[in-house]
Amino acid sequence: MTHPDDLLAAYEDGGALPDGERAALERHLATCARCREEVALAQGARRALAGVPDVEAPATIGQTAIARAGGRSRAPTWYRWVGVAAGVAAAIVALALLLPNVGSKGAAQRAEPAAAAAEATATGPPTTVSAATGIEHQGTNYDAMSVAELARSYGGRAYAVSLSAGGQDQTPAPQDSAFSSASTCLGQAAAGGQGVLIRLVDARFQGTPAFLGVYLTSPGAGQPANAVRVLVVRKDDCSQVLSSAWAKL
Amino acid sequence: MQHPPPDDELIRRFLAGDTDAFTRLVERHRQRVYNLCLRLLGDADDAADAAQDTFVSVFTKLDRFRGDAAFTTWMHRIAVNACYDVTRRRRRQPMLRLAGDGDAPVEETGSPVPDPADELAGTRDVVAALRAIPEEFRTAVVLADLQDLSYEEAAKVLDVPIGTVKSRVHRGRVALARAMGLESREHDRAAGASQEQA
Repeated sequence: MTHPDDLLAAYEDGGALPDGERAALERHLATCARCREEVALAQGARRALAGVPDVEAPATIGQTAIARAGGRSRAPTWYRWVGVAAGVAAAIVALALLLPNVGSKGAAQRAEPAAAAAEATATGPPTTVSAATGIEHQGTNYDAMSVAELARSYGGRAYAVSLSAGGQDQTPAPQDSAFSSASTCLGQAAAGGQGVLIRLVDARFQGTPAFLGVYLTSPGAGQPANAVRVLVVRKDDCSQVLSSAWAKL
Repeated sequence: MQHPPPDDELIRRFLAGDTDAFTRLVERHRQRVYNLCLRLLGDADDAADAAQDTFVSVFTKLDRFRGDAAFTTWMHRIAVNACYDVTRRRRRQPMLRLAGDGDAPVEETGSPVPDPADELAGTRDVVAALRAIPEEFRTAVVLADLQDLSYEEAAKVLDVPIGTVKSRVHRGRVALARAMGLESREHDRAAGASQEQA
């Protein structure tokens, strides 16, 4: 005996079946204990599934794509990178100028909640960090939890980005080609939307060789950094973002 | 009262250069994509990875979205594939799983993270049982019974004939009920007419 599995699903739903199909199905069920039992089981499973509630999605989901969408441009590639480099240079100058003033009267006048939150936690002098100029090599095998932990380790402080010996130029020294290719690799994934790269780590993510970029980000040009973002990409395929995490400063 | 713009309108705005439209699209579908991945993969970290990958793929492929199917159908297809990719990656890295776990989710009996879905014992049973049934059945059941896609939509997501989807949903529900131990409870009821062998 063949069993009409494809008709049983709709029958279990209690939904409409064409009259001819319903009559044929009910004739079959009258003589087939196997299908009767399966219908009863399937209806029990349906009832159980109906009680499964949605789980709240982490707000970080989709942020990598949003960051890339924010950094996209229809301009030719070379032109886009010129724009990205200029934006990064401007952000470094703005951060260097503004961060030491966090907590001052001028800064306190900003009404934005994010800025207020930053002020609330930034009671001490800002920690001075430099834009990354080299690769840290680690034997660490990261996972989503440890990437999030890395991001959180930067929380609760204000940062000032010092201008390196290279001035505003984010381009690494020509002799450091490994750093150059790695930062380009991350930059392609970030599409320029991540902020100032302050650490570049060569490690693994769940066993896959990966670059981790730690970025300070600000809500807009001329505003202090309010978040740190960690972006993880495959070493051999820069377009593949393996993980990302962020934390408020 | 103004209605929120439909997906198609947000896509059109994004392709015209409005990046906020993409943000709205992500925020609108984040919950749905994450829950799809969570139920397909059974692990919160894996689900977050797959959902993240889904939106990156949506972003990179959106200019090729032709609108032949609804955006949600297209997005579900990308999400299901992202989940399959995560599953494949995990199978290549068995050493990262719990010892003895291997690539057999059948052995796993619970969600590794606290899950609001676990508040009820019955819910925990069905969530755990989902992980114990074959992937193709699980996918069909999740699409039809948790994501509330029509059979036509699920068939487009999986790129299989609609009859195949219906069969998988039925077989998946039965497998799920058996994994939950419902069979013994139903058995008595069906016993009176069980002489016939399938």
